[in-house]
Amino acid sequence: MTEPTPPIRLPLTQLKRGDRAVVAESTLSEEDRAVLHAMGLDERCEFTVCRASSSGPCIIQLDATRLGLSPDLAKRILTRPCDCPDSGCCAEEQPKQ
Amino acid sequence: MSNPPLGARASASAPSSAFAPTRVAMVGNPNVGKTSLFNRLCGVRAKTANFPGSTVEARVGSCVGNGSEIELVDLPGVYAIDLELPESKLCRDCLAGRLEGCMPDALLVVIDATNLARGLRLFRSVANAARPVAVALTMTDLARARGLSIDPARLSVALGVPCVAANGRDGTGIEPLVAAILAAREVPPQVVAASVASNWIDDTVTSIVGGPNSLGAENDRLTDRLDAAFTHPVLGGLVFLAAMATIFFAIFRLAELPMELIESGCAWLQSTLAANLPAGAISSLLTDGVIGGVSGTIVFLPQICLLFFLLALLEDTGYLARAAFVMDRIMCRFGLPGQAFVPLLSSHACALPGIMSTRLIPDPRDRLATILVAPFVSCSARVGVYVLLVSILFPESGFLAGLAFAGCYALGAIAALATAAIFRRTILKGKSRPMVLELPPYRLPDLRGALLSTYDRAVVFLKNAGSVILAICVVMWWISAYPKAETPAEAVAIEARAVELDARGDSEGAEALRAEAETVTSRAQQQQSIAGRLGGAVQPVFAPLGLDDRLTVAVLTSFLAREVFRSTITVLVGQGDSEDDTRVAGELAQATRTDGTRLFDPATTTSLLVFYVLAMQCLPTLAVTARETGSWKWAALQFGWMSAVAYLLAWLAYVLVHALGTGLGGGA
Repeated sequence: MTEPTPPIRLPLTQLKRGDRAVVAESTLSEEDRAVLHAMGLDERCEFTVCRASSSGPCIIQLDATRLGLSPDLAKRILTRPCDCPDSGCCAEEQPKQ
Repeated sequence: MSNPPLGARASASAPSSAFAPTRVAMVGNPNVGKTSLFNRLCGVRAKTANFPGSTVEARVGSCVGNGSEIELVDLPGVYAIDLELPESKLCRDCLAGRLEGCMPDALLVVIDATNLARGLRLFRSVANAARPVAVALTMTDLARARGLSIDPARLSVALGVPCVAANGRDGTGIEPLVAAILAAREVPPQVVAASVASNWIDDTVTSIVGGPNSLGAENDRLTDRLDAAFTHPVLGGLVFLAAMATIFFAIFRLAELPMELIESGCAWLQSTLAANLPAGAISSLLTDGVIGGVSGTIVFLPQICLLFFLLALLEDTGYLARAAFVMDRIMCRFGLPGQAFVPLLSSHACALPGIMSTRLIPDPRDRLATILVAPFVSCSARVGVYVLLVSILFPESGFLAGLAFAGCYALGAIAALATAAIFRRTILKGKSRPMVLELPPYRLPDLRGALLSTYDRAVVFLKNAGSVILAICVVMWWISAYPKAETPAEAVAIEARAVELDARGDSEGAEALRAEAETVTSRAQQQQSIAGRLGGAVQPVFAPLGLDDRLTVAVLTSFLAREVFRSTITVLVGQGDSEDDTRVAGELAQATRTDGTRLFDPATTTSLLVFYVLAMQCLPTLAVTARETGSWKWAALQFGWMSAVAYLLAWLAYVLVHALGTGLGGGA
């Protein structure tokens, strides 16, 4: 049985390799948010962390796409880590926009 | 395996159609294989198109389908067309018909099969009932490797437009793709309209691939390991340095032979024309102005081709996107993005390919800053001047000479980074595009695509050399050659002595005297010409740097290309030019001013060296800056800023060395 997702929000830079998470919110400008949204990183999407660092680039995997983010950008993206076992389950918990 | 030319296949087998869209715009996300498809469809029948007011370019080409010519416009890759980014604006303008000569009759939307949802989002934003649309589904091999199965026929039904799986790298699906473009007109507009309903993307992805999640994650382990290595703070830096050293070596060494061949070819052409044309203005214009000037630019063609070929290969492997992150840590401190490192490194060979390679940089401000500072980096044309002046400064100490030589490179690099930091905080102030890049999958590079990309860049470069640069060279020739000076009495007397020696059978001595007479005549011409008179008038400006009128003329003529400094100064000082740097440096070191003091005293030589490190003395570079930025305004700023920095620091160097009274110059 899937445990309820803990109500914590972590900057993307604080996640670990292999973690799955959902974008909860960001403190990015509208323009930057629009760019990330167009690239597929919006507030409904679930991703897997390939590399996270507060000093170097963060690499995440969205479906079949890998995105590299600078640490300055990544630390402004707050995420909700997923504990459920199945890929895609966290994204489904989010209300669709 | 490569396919036969498209035109032959298409005209032989495609069904007859009463309608053929004459212009098709290709739209797609970055890294979806759109340009590979374009290259496969058009081959060398393509050119880069710059549109007024846009710093982003598109490529236009043609192919033949069903006996009709189709014009293809390869628009830049975009994630969405409504973003406030130059490439999105170009796409919007093109689709709205706001660009002259770019109103498409139909669209070809290129969608990555491994990222269907994102491709469909773009499809939804560009497809409308008024214009036929076809879809090319790419990366189906990668999708299969990830366990995804997408049926183009089902997707075609879901989208309501023709959809074909195609691969630009190996040419599969190209013929059906052309047929699909031609068949796009058959789609009733209401089908397209119905396909843009809400939740349509999720529903379509679910029905086509069974859900939005990727499968086959096992395949990502190798990518994970490579990413960990290539973006590691230490290992990633070492890999990057190795990759750049290889490129640097190739630009410098592998280009040597073809560069020598171009030089020899131009020299042969010059001497052949000079021998066969009657002596006079036309001969001088063709040999000295046109060939002499343009050859100084096209000699860099091999370096440019090598650079772009290697960069295209490297970009195709997926490595370059990772490298940008490695360098971003360092470059961002100076307001430059990680991608700026490649253009700056390339500029060590020549600023022309360096500036042209700034197209790798997505943010317009970042790109502009990189273009403006790239010529500060010491290029190969400066090496000759460095060697000459350093040899005059330190004739006895190879160690100090080497140190000074390395110092020149360091000074150029520091000036470039400092200028970037200043510009990004002042005239180019503003937030950069956030450093977020899609990291394409690692794969073997597409040799054909790299060659076509190189060909395209070479054509652009040669067109520039044959237009703007040619015009500049002719003007510079004219101000150096006119008005014509009368042959000085001194030269006439030397010539008479040469005739006497000839009569006595001393042909060697006569030849030496004739060379001396020619030097005297050239010096008189230099002094009498517009450029020479300008030098005399401008000399007071350069006096604080220790320059007399001869050095001022040499500096002024160097604004055409800095490598002419050596030949100009040897003519003006009255020494014969020679391949032997040490001999020329030794002779110049003995040259004196009218008051009997050394012309190349330590303070003057140091200030000249600093000036040549920092000054913008390359008209072809200014022409390329104007072309790449779309405005001569930026070229003027580059020239003004670099000249001002060069003047100020050269003056400081002069004052310092003068005050210190060092034992530079071999203690002479």
